[in-house]
Amino acid sequence: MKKSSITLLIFIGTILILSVVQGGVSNKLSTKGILVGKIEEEINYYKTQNTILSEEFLSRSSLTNLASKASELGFAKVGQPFILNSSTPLAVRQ
Amino acid sequence: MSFRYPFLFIVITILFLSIVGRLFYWQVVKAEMLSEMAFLQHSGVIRVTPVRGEIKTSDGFPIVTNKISYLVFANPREIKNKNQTLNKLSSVIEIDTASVSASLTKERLWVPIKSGVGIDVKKEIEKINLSGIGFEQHFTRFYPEASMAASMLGFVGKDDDGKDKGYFGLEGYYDRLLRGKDGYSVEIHDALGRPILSKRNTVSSGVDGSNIVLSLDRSIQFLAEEKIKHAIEKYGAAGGAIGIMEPQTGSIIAMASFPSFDQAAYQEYEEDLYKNYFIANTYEPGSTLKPIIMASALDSETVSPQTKCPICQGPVLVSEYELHTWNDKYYKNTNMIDVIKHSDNTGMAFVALKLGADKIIYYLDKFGIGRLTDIDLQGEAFAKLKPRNSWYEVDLATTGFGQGISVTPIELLNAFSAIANKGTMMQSRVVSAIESPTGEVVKIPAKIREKPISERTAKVMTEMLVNAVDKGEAQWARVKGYRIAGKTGTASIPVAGHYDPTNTIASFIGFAPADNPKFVMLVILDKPTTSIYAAETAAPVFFDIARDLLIYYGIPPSE
Repeated sequence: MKKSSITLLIFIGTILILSVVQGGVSNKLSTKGILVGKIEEEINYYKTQNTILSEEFLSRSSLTNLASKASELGFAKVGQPFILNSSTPLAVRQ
Repeated sequence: MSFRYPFLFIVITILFLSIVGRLFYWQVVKAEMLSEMAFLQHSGVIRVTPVRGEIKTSDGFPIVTNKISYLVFANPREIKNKNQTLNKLSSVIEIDTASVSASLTKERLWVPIKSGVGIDVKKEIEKINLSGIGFEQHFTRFYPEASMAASMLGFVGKDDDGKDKGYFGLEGYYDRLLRGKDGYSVEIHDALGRPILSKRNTVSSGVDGSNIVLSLDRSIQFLAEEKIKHAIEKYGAAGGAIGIMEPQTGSIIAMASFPSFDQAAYQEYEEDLYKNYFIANTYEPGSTLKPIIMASALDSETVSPQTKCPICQGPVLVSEYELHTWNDKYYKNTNMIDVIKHSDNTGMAFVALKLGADKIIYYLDKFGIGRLTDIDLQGEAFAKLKPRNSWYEVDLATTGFGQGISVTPIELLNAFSAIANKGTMMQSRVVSAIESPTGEVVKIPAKIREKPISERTAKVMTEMLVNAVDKGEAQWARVKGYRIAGKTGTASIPVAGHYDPTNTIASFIGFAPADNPKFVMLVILDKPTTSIYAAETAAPVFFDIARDLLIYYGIPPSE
């Protein structure tokens, strides 16, 4: 067999093998769409859950809610706070 | 035998050439059109809607965020019994069954029924298990603090294309930043409509909206809203507003006005309520403008604190108009310190006349009166100063005590903050930082707007205002132990060419602690009915809030 024929056969063989591989890979990838769809659904589910929980958390931690809960529980505002100042102690003044 | 080969050769050649020709026609001549047809058959363009940015208060709490809501839609071709489906649906959500029924024709594939449906309602509908009814997920604005700071925040509505758009306040001003950028992607499907992983291309990548961080202190905003609501009830006022600013940076710490509206249900309120009273409403400020005029006169050395008023022994006659003091009490040869303490209109008329129109216009302009403050909120209004040739002697005299001139509350607060901040007026602002969708934080530095008066003048004016608080009409309400600078303002309301004899706008403006102010605050009560005087209405509200703020900031008494 001539050298050029062998080279030609190798080229053709490579092309055939690559074509088969490409076909196989494309086929595999196309069916992965179902899996991707499922993953996307799952991601969306968790995103939704996160948003719902964050909504709940923010509602409960809002000042508006805390103030109303505090009022229900009987908490009242301190009217006149007692402030410590640095006036001279009575003993020193006398 | 001899003609068979040539014949077969010709036939095969013709067939071959016709195939080549046809292929050439498809792949070269009609290539573009066929590619487009194929593309439309096996792919779809998906609009990727960006998530609108959040608005956070200074403590990082999202005062405006997004929540998931659903659009309930119907596919009429899949609905078995139209009336039964609608009856069941109307038991869960409020719908106009007649109009929805009319729109459910077999020609249509998609009919929207109700938007803004919450997750709980969605679950209820799912339980009924109705065929032909589906849900589309959307993000809508969510306000964890309900209607807090509504008029400052604005709201999100729809534009002409049905897309989200911010209106009024921050939502309006920062709409483009909050909105982000739409993205588009192309998804290739297989024969059964399933997405193919390797063939999803992003045509244009969208960008989610940026978050904005405010200088607004949530606790102080809450406090201010509670106090103003209570004050409106207590003093029988038609409305009211409070603005609190940090004078060193011009940052708004709180801004509350009532009546207000609920952003989540803005359609149910009158359009007038969407406007932020503090930035969109002009009024005659009355005596709260006196410190600005007096500071101008001191700065230009027109008067000194000890200057005696030679015309203050009785009502002042200016161009056939007689000007009185608010209580018809007159102080002969009173000095400028007492003019501010007694809120003496005749004394201020003397100051304004001595200052003259040119200097008054010059200083008012330097204090930003008659101009937009350029605060970063949509809907700011302003009233221009009269042109120089329209200033008559009486206009000059009345401007001295804040009548015949209109300002917005933010204009006055910004101007007054210059006295609190050693004569330097900062650019008022609400947003202190911007967070990009990637988490990058860009802080917005404070900016000097103007320096209307010298530091010395500011200091002298501060002492005069402390004296006014300690010895003036509102001294009964003051916070003992603290040096607070402030001024009452009982302004008459112009109606159809004259002043309303029964109603006033009562206000109090001041800052504390006087020597190193933590805040400057303006309290306005619109038409209080229990008393028309600011010393009996707005002043106690101011001091009540000031007391709480001083405790909140942990500032001990100085006296």
